[in-house]
Amino acid sequence: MSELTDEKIVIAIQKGNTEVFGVLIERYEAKLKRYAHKFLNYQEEIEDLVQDVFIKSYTNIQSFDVTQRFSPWIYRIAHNTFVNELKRKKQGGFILFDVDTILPNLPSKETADDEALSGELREELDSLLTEIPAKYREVLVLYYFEELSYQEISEVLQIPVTTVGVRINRGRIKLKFCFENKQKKYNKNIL
Amino acid sequence: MNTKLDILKKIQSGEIDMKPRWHFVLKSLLLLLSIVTIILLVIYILSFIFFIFRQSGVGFVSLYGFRGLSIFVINSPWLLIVLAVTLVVVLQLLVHKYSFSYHQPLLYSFLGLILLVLFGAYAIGQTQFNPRLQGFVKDRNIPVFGPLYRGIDERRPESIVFGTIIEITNDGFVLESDRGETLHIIITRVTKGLPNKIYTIDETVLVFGDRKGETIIALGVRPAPVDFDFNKHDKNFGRGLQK
Repeated sequence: MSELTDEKIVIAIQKGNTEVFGVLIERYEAKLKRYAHKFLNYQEEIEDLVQDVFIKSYTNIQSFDVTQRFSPWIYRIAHNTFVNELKRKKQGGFILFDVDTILPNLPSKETADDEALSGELREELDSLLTEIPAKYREVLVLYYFEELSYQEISEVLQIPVTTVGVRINRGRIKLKFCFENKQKKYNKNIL
Repeated sequence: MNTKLDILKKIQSGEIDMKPRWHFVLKSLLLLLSIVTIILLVIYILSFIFFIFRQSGVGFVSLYGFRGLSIFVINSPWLLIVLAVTLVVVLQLLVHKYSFSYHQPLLYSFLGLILLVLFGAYAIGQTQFNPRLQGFVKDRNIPVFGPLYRGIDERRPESIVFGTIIEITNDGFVLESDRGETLHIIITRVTKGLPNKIYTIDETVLVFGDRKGETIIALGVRPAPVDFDFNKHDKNFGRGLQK
């Protein structure tokens, strides 16, 4: 069963083989916990929230279109769960339609530069992510840590692909700004 | 806490259950049905708004300077306009659940929806749908539609008159209005109308101007819309002219 694709496992679950849902839990538990941890920016209740994501996934598994990829679908459920959690804790700042999804943006494609940057940025990202707004933090986490494509992130967040590119670029600029500030403070302390 | 074991235990005990496929099919159908219903409703409301503009003359007077524009703004059916805008926003929220919508900038899908309903309303406006509906509800006690269509005429301000020219005078013409009044229309240099227009007897026109008793100093004169119902007040109106 472990060599089957996520989508084939979902077909089996939809046909009544509910036991194999455990394989999906094994595959996604660590990823979703990491996503939750970085997106929500705190550690408490993450176990419960991720469990909630799996329960919702199981409950709604018949709505999954097996011609699509499973990972954006489960990340979409996770995204909604975490956004609701942020709203519940009044940390969200999420609005119905974000300004950057209203107006058209110039196409922003994944480039070789992104790939090169990804390795280099990872460590810095990890320590600085907490300092940038959730909407930028989330796309960076999905792109650099969860390794979803622009198209998949667009499905997860239900925003245009161009907006994903814009948010990743802006997120990186904000991170760079945070990094430079941190460097300046560090240099001052040394002097 | 072992997430996998916990969840599998809950699945086996029936504590959590998957929703059946028909639940999602029904949900999708309901969503689609809501979208189609709202689109049709908005198209109808917009076509009715345009019909009000034509039948009350309010839509035409906006062309006659600041005075005409203010009459247009004051007498527009704002409740219906706000309702139509609200429904378009609700429509956008519903349509946004589809990938073809959220993959595009919101502006595009919103503009697309607005164009769709405006085109639909324009298409309805080219048919006899509203005039026929108005004729149908005129003498019947039909809820909602009856008061709606009967209210069109009440919406017309005193400064707008529809009628038929029955006599040409030195300074304008005499008009028999659709409400059965005989009015003296004075054409001045400031009257806007067709350039070098010569008015003729039996011509049906809309007159916009300052009314003092039976006299109107016209600010604008234009042909009445072809689907204007001149018989709605007086069934004998116009018949005398043919004799």
